[in-house]
Amino acid sequence: MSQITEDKAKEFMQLYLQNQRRIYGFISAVIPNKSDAEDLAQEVFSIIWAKFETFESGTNFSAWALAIARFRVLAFQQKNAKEQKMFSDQAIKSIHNVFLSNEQEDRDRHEALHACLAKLTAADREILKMRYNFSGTIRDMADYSKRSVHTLYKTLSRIHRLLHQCITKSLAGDKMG
Amino acid sequence: MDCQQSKRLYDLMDAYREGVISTEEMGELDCLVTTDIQSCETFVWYVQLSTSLQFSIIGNEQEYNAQLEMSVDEALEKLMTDDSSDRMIGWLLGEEAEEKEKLIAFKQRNHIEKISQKRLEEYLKGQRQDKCDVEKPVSKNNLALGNRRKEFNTLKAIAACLVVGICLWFYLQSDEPMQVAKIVDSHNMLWQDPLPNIELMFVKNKEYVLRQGVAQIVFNNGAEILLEGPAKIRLESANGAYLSYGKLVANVPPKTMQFTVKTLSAQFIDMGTEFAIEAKEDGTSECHVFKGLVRLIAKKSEIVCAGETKRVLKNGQTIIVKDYNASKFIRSKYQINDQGVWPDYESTVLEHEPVAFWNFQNVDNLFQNIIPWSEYQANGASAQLQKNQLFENNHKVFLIDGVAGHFSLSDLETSPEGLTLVFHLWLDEILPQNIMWQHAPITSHLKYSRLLYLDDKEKMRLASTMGDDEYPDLYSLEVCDILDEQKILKAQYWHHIAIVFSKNWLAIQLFIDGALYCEKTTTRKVPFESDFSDMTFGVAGNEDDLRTMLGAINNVILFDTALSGDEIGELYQATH
Repeated sequence: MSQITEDKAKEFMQLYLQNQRRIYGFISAVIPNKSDAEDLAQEVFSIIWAKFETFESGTNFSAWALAIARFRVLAFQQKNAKEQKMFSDQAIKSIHNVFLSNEQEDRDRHEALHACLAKLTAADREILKMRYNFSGTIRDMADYSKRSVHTLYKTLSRIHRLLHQCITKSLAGDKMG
Repeated sequence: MDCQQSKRLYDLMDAYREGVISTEEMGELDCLVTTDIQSCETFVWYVQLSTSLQFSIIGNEQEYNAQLEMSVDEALEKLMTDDSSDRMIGWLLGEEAEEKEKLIAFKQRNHIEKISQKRLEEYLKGQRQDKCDVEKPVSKNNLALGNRRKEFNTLKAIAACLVVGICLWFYLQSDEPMQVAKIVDSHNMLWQDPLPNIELMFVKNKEYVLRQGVAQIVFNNGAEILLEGPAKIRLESANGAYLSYGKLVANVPPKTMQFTVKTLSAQFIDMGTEFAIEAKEDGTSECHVFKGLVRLIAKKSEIVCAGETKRVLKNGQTIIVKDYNASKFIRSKYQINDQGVWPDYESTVLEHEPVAFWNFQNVDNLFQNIIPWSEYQANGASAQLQKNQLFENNHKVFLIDGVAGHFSLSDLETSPEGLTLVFHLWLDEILPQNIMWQHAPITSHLKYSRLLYLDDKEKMRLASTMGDDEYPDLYSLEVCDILDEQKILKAQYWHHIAIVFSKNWLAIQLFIDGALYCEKTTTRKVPFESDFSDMTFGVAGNEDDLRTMLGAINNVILFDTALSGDEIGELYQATH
């Protein structure tokens, strides 16, 4: 890679930070194992940085980065073909297509999330905080928090569905308004 | 998407997010995401919600948003010095020197050499962990727990490897070949080279050529295949085989370890499945899934869902095959009859308006009723099913797909128009006392019952019994009189059986293959009691003297009326 200009580096930082959540979101959507997803995100970041010189300013960075992520995911998938709990190529393609098409919706939902989080009870927020700060599995978390796996699992499902509904209603309200 | 589908999707997504999804559920989710755009959008949104939560709750998002307001130098400096960016440093470090060089070049260009170098050194010396522990007391326990678990898991893995290694070493020292599967049944089987042992065991990694016939092979892991000749197969392990050419149907019980069939062009991995593979000598192979899911790995990895067929060309390219004739595969030894196909009524049976019709071929072990049982339950009847019921000596009674069923007929017994029971019957062998059906419960005190069985002369008999100690006519047995002495039952053949109770419930008739075979007019109506009205297939007798049928039953049909001989003839003709 030839010498990259400071402007280009600045552009990279801005674009990457703006899209980091989406790129990581796509990878974690198709790679269920968290540590594999993080490793892959690391690789994707390196590739995006290495290839950034070829990126044409003003074009869709998100689509470009997601395409790179998709190819890395497919390569990972082929390497780990015997792993059964992985999506097929067709499913990855479908998920990728939805990621490409829902950028604005994703940003809207992300913004609505903060208001919906505020509507949760303190106890529910604590559980979420613990879940997303915790690096282990739900079983580890149950052991740690002295709760049953089943209770924790059901509680988390309920909270996620509540948030999902809240965001849907919030966005529907915005459109109506 | 209706409410139930939506709920199911959420359940699958929750299981996926929490890493507790089963292989079968993963396949189901894959199918939904691939085939239904709405499900796919919901899935993506749900995942994005988790990612948003992760970023919002851990706080990354606010920091990154703040970073956007900084100068690039400040942002990069922060990126390299802040604990929250450890992961990114990890990414940048990577495993390759090239990545490290790129990082250093990047930092040099952005004047952050001093700080980042220090940070890099810290990272490489493993000091990061200590620092995190001091700065983030909340996560200390989590990290410690994670580390302890990692250590424990590592120890477990090493111990497991040692045990497996030692076992393997001892095993390889022995002269015995590794036997991975055995033949449990066959039909006209002819191998190119006779199997070397009397137990019909297969040796690992040896090639076998089945010239003709069908072999039912059970692998040590529990998976079962029906291999149809001509075929050439190599059993690579207790979990899989390489099929050079030929046809097979694999039936892999849900809790069996992953079972794989390889061909020249592809690998087919079961995901709780019944599937058929045909491998051709030109290198193409086809996979049809009857139940569950199969992961197909060729040029790319994909899922084959139940009812789908995919053809893999020699170059690994995959084609979806529409209108595939899957009936060419033999799915059960009970399918090997003169017709070479399952007896099947299609819609003909509906014209006679049955009360219930159970076909065990396509319904995944579930009884299906044309008229819902709820309608009968309203009148006091009930249906009870016992799947894979085990009786004494672990003898399992098999209907098709391993279902032993019985149900109550307290309502139908009082049907003023009589009753007709029709089914297809396959007997493994023609043996005396082989009892096919009993209209009575399996209890220690047999009161009233009706039996269909083979007598000592191996003739099929329909009989009524009644009484026990409490009744004066103890064990009186009224057996139907045979009208057609020429009729000979065949083993390993699907016979069409019909039992008719007359309108006044005084006469019983037995039809075999559409023709009246025997009948009996009883001296009085045999009473029924609601407690003793169960109808049981494949097993008869009582707890002290239980007899099980050696064979199979399929296409059980019930009519709440006595069908005429002509109507029974029509039903028989519809499947033969």
